[in-house]
Amino acid sequence: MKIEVYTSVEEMKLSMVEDSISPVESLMQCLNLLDFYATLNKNNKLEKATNEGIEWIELKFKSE
Amino acid sequence: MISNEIRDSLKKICLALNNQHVEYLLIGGVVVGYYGFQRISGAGYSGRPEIKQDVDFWYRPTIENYLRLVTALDELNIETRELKNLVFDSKKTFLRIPFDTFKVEFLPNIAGIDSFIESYKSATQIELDDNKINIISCNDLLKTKRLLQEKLIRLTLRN
Repeated sequence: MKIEVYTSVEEMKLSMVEDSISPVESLMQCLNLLDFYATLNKNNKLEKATNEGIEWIELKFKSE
Repeated sequence: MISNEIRDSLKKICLALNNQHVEYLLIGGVVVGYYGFQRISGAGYSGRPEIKQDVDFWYRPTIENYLRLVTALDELNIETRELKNLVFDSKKTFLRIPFDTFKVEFLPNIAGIDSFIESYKSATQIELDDNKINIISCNDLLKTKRLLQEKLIRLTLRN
């Protein structure tokens, strides 16, 4: 097995091309991320939960 | 839920990392699943969701730890000649092992968190079939998603 070496995350994740994403896909991913934050905050029993991420998302939508 | 193939690889890799005293944290989709959220891996990058999951590690970016990592990869029968000739860069030495159905990646730094040591102190240790695995804390995992979050919101608003 041969290992590959890269000098950045961007180089390693070549598929990170913003233009390839459609409006529906980006919206779906946003909702997916909100779900992710909500789930992890709910399950974060060992540490003090933070909902900073979700509040930040709501503020950005209103201010744009 | 991870596949049996990934589970077996994870065990072997973590055993080798532990044997060589590599300082590492398991990050990414596998950990997201551990904390209770089943996501489609890869959806954040390509916009084309993929079912397959990758295994991502954050390793402490020091030359000593890098050399221990290379020794651990030797133990796993990974070809490391190139790594031994490489000039290690604590900011730029990203490694990927491409298995047939998934990839294993070792990153010297990750977006959203500055200090490996601080993150390491707050890590959670779990056991997988008698193997100890260091995983990033839930709070730190949330921090790593901030940049992805900002990017997705920019895209959504622009679209």
